Amino acid sequence: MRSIRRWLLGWLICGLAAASGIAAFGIFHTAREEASELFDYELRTVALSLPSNVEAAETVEREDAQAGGISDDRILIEIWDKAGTLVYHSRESAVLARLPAGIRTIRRGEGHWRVFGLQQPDRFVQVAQPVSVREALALRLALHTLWPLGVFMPVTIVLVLLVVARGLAPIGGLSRLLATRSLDSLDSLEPLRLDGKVPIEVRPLVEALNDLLARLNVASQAHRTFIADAAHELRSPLAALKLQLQAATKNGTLKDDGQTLERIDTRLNRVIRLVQQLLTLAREDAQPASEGTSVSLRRIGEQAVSDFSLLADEKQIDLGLEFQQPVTQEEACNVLADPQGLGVLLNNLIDNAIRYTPQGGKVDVVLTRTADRMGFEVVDSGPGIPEEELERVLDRFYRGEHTKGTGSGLGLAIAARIAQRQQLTLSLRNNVDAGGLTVSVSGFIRAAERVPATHG
Amino acid sequence: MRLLLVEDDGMIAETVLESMRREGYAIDWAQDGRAAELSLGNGVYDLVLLDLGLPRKDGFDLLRGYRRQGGEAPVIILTARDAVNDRIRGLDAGADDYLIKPFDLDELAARARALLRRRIGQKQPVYTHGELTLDPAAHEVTKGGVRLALVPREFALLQALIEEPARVFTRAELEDKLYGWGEEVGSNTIEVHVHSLRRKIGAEQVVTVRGVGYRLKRRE
Repeated sequence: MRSIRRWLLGWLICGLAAASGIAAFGIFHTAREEASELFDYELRTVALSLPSNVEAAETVEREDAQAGGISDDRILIEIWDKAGTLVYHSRESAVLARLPAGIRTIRRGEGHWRVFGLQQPDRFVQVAQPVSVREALALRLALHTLWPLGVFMPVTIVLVLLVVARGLAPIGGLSRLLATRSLDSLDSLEPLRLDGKVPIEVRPLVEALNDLLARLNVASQAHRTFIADAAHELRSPLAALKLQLQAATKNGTLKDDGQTLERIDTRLNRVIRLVQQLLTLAREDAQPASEGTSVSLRRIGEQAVSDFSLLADEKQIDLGLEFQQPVTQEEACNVLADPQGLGVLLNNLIDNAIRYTPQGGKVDVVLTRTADRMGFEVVDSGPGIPEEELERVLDRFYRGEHTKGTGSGLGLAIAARIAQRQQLTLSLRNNVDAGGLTVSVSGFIRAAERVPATHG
Repeated sequence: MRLLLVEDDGMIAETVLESMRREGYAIDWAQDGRAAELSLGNGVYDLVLLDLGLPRKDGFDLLRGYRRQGGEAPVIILTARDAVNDRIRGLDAGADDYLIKPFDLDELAARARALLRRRIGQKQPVYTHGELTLDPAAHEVTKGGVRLALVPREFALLQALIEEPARVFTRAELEDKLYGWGEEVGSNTIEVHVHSLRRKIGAEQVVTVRGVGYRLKRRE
């Protein structure tokens, strides 16, 4: 995949390096040429400034040699008189032939020389310097002009790195902001905030995203509202149907052996329950994650067991509330939760357990506690769920392949949704020894235990 | 007894009308909010059955208006809206009871009876539950027609249970019913009373709900 960052860094750094290279080359050459001109000028100066008598010239040269001037630059001085006799030359070894006046470069033996001849009224002065010396000096001078470039490059690279990182930060921030949105929380489809910090280049992107989010939100809302509305609208005709069936059975308008009417009634109740469950689910889906207030888990358990006491009795199921060590019966078991949702959650679990437990079975609601969290379990003595289906039974409308009960296929899904909304863990397992299913809900944050009012 | 049913759904109205007539009530039907408002203006009704989602005038507004004008007949709301907030709103607006569609005809009849009884001042009915009867006024309990001699705490216990026969009472709730503030209650006092009550009315009559408390035996 293409990376803007890598692209920017690559081009900026390579481009700068290339530009610096060309600049360095140019500077270097200019410096060398200028140095060369400077040396020519030096030669000319030396020739012009030589004293008119030869002895004095020797002194000058010697003094200069002591000061490290002319001889350092290895300048060769030769003087001819009018008759054309060489009257002076500064060094024995290298003697150049007399050349015409003016400046030129000649080749002699190994090296090149730069020579300047000057015709004076009574003599001819020739000053020469080896080109190699000039070159070495020019090189040194030119290199000296390059050091700012050497510093400039690393500083620029660091600067480019920083600026690119900084410039791309809003995009990184945007991705992080989107990534941290949890799929489930209600604000997952809320528009992103467009404050002053969003750069104008990213603004169209954020706006487009917001537009998309808004449309998604509308669609998702419409979906939820549709389920809620549909369930709600189904209720009235179902109510009418039920009432009419009931009335007709009572006044004898409808007559049969009793079985058909009973079956119709059972079916009708099932549809009514399905509609009810759909409505509950739609309502739970629309609820945002809740903070929760302090509620007594024991009280909720008592209420739920009480509500199902008669239904359990009808099926001769022993339904009760139990306390697992270290929870004691006197404890209120206060937790932070949404009491209404918790009631619906527990009711769905108990309802489910009673539905799938055969006559004469047992259903327990057990309050549990680990180090700092509370929870509860609904344990039944029914057939349990095949291991491979354990995961799937939490899906909406999933009913086990071999289930005979009259469930809507939504009970556990509703329970799972409520648990998720309240940041609780809901898990299912088959009981090892006795058989049956245990649904455990855990992760309740404990709230301060209020001292219950005592009598006397 | 004259009742008013305010309901826009003809199918539901028809059945409720028929069933309430069979129960021996005179019942009128208003199909929308305006019609209901006019009928209620007569002030002749003893009980109102009110649907909330009405054409032309919302059920809440109707109820509020009725109470503001001094209407005193008890009102049962019949609605498909079952959110707790709606319920609270309905009761706050002046309803006496709240039934959610789909409801049971027998339940509607029972609630209507209870409200009408309260209206004519008969506050203490004789409760029956299976073979048991309890007459709070006469302070009398019978089983299968035979009078039983109960001590006051046993009587109070049975009265609590029989008043709401489907409800499970926790020990704490029963203690509240049996003892006043500041009275000393031993740790297993309720168990003792339940035990002695069971001896007199039959052990099967009071069911223990494991971990929670007690309720009466389910009616067959």
